Amino acid sequence: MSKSSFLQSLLDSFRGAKDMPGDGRPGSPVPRVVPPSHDFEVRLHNALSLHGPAAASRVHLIDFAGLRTRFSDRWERSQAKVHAIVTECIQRHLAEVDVYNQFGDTSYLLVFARLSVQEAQLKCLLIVREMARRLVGSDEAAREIDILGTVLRADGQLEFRKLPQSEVLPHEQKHRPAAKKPDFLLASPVLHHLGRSVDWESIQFVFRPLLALRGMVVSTFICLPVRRTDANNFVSGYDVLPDPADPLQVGDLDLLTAAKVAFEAESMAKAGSLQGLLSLPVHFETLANQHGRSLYLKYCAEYLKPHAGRLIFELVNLPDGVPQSRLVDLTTLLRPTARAVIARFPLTRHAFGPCRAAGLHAVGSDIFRTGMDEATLIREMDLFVEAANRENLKTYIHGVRSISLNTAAIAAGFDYIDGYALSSVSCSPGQAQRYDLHSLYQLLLDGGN
Amino acid sequence: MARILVIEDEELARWTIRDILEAEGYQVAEAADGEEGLALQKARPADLVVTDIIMPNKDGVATIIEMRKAFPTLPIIAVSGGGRTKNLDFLRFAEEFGANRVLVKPFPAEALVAAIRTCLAGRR
Repeated sequence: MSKSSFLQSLLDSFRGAKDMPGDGRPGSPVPRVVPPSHDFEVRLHNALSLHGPAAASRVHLIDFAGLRTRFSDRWERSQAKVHAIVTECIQRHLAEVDVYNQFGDTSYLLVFARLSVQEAQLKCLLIVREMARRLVGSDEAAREIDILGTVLRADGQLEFRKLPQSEVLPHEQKHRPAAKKPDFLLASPVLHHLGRSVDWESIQFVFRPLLALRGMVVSTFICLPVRRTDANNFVSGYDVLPDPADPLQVGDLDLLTAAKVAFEAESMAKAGSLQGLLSLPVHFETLANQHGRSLYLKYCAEYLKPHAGRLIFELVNLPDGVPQSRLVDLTTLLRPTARAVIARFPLTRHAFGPCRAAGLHAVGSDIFRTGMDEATLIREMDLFVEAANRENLKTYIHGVRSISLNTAAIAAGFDYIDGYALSSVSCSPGQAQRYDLHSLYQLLLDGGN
Repeated sequence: MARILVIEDEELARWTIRDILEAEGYQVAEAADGEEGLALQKARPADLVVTDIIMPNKDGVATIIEMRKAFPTLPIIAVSGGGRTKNLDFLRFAEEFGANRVLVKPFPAEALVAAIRTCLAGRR
């Protein structure tokens, strides 16, 4: 089927949208679908034109009819708000060249112009999880939202087929050509440096927004490797590795992360984006190991240095009691390629004497999996910030997982905060934007749990 | 005499408020965080709630939002010192989302008592 006839089939589908999934009620009225505008048709044409004959595989449908039943008789008066929330969730994850439009009463059509099919399906999953979290307050409810892919039948007609969420990744693996790699790796020279004990293609990257409290601005995006373990779960950070204690695997992952950041920084520069900083973790072992260090720094000098003004390196997994001289060495190695170097410590650390002298801009901690109860976390947060402030160091905190911890972190005086209580992750870094603390409570105000 | 629920994670602060209110003749129930406070209020409703803002498990603003939904006419007083940073944004949210009065810590006992009397009188 030619691209123009595929496009026409897609547009014709809008007219038949009342028969699509999402309007399962017998005798339901024609859905209140906003007909696609001419602008939408042009943008859809442009988005599909970026690909060859496989354009159909870039088109997805998200259908939340399963979730609508939870609203029962409140649906009529809630639907405007629900669609507003769904639209926000979708827009947060779309690039400028991507396209979306409401398709049925409870469904939206999405076209990701530049992503691989696997990346597009991951993005759909992230959107669906955020929708579930914001609409009903539960990630588990994501199972009630369908993701559908587009299939061209033999007769040339378009058909939407549900992708069971448990099969989204294996489906792609089954049909993936042997040599296929994520786009950024294709263009990256790190590919031939990576060891073979890890399935690098199963690792993807998300970006976590970091809120700078002074200006209430989200302007930094933390690059985080993730790997799906089942339909609705990921592992992240060094846990994506088969053996997170293996220095070679750790070094390779840091190199891959640097490559992803270089790719995104290049994209941001080409887009003329003056805003937005990128942060990436660097494991102590990567810089402690001579071979790994040499390779990593060489890559940084060649591919990250042009974007140094946008980059923040976060030193992680530093050994207990790391001496000042060592910190100075590590910071010195990274400074030529960085806007700032920061370092992560356990929340129970309350002495940062060597850090300021070593040239670190900030010290921080990740509280997502400390195992401490909230009361203890809140006490430790205060002590951590107090200790850092004594040395004129900025502070940051990762993994804030609840509204109460978020409130406490702000009150403790952290300069930068991130966590899913604040904002969801996305597949690419966004633009710097203001953050309204009201957003923290929006779910409660909207009637969620 | 009215029954007042005090939600405050710091024991010393909670006991101080309890002593002030019992001296005025009020019955006092206590909770150490918003989750506990909500459960107590649902089990045995108090006539007025005094709640801190920065608390573990459920902060004061979230507690006020949920209290207000379950008990639309319940008088609620929010108190906070704003933490290390003296950030009073959350007191502003508390008022916006349903607190009848807010008090900035440290406050004199008379201020709390006056606020409670006003809120209870308004309810009658």
